[in-house]
Amino acid sequence: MLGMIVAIVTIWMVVLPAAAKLPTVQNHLEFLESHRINAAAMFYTELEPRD
Amino acid sequence: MQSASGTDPSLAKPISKRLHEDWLVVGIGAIALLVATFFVSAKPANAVGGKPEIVNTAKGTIAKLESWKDAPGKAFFTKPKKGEPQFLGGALLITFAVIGTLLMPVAYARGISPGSFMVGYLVLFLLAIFAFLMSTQEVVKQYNFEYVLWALLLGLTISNTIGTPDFLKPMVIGDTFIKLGLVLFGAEVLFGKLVALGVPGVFTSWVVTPIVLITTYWFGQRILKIESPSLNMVISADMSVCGVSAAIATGAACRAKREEVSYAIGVSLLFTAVMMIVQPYIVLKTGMDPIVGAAWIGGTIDSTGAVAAAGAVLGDDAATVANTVKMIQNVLIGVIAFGVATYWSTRYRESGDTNSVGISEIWTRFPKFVIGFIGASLAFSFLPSWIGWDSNIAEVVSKEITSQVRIWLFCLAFVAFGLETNFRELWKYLCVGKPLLLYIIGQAWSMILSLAMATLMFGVLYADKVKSILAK
Repeated sequence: MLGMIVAIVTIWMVVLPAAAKLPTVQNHLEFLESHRINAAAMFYTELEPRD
Repeated sequence: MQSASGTDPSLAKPISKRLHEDWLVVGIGAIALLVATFFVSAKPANAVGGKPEIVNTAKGTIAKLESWKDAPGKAFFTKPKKGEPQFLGGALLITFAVIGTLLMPVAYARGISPGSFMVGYLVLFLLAIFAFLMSTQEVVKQYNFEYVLWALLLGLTISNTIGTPDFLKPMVIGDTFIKLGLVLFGAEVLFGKLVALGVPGVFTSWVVTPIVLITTYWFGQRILKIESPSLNMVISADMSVCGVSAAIATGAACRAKREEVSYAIGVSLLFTAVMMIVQPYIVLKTGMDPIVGAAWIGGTIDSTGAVAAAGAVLGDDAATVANTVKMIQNVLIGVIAFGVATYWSTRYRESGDTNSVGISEIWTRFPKFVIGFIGASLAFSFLPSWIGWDSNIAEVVSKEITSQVRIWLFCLAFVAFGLETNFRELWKYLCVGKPLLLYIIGQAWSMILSLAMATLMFGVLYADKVKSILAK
């Protein structure tokens, strides 16, 4: 259990924030944000309306 | 859905009790949908010929965690286009109260004491918040790793390390959360969306998809000889229709084991993360017409959000086509769930034998919450126009209010599934190659058929008509 907690905290607090700063990832995130795309939408009702 | 070990408390009860709970869930869902409509109204248009304004007084009432990059605390603050960010604490409390109110009658019917209900529900709710927090990290989100995966992982971690605490067990009722969520989900399945792209949209989504579903299921049964028909069906539906939501709906309709649904969702999310990058790349590199490519992406990538992200790479018009094809395919989920529930009721007993049965037996076996799911879909699709309401009211109710409640219920359900699942049971599926092979072959078949239909409809027969629709 402790191992899992350490793994989750390390991945979400260190690895993923660091990955978000990589130029390619940053560009993709900016692209999604500028197009208001929720890439994790499960159903069409979870998408932002397109302009 | 049931556990592999057959220890699901809802299945331990006589069938009449379970049917009773199905109807109870349908009733709760119907009341919730009705109440939600009171918060939305249409204000008459100011100018002649103008559109009436739809006012939703409950907007933002149900909490929705925001995305974050490096500081998880930011997930708890709104990101308004104008003004200061607002703390979501109040919305979380209201969400806790609303969902708790919906679940109380079920807890009462199951004989769960108020104390056990409150403690169990509070812990599940906190775990659901944590799962949402994990899913809203922007890097995780961009690859479509949805909240259900993290909810399941959290539940699995607890149950397979320290074990699910006794005080939590009475409220570990994932099936009930799913059933209630599906009744609310029905309101989001609006048949009016079918005509959004005319004939080409219907052919790409409503002709190819059932063909892929049925042939993949047949292939799994007859050629691969997959032991569990319900696992075969959940993978086939998940892969051919719309990913996680289809797996949840068909899994519930054919009473698949929760390990089977979890497995199908895991495989689907993994492949979706790859396909959302590879497919637009193929379209761009091969010089394919972006509109045809977008229709192909909309028809084949499992998840809606991944389709939106992949379609946008091909341009604005292409994104519209990809999203619309996927939306039309999303609507198919109602018909598929009903068809699967009926097929399973006529063919499979819980004992697994497949002797033919009469109408009354079929009715007895039929999962009644599916009627709630279909009923909500039909009511929200057709009732507003019959009673003279603005058709956008139903859409706003389902999109801005009930879908938010449904998302929380699905998240709670997958936390509960994780808490009920022995990792060894899940591992059995991970070690067997046939289900994975079924997914890969089915997806390849789907890509070939979808590409052929998208080319025919969007590139040849209706190319001009589609362009004129997009120009509007």
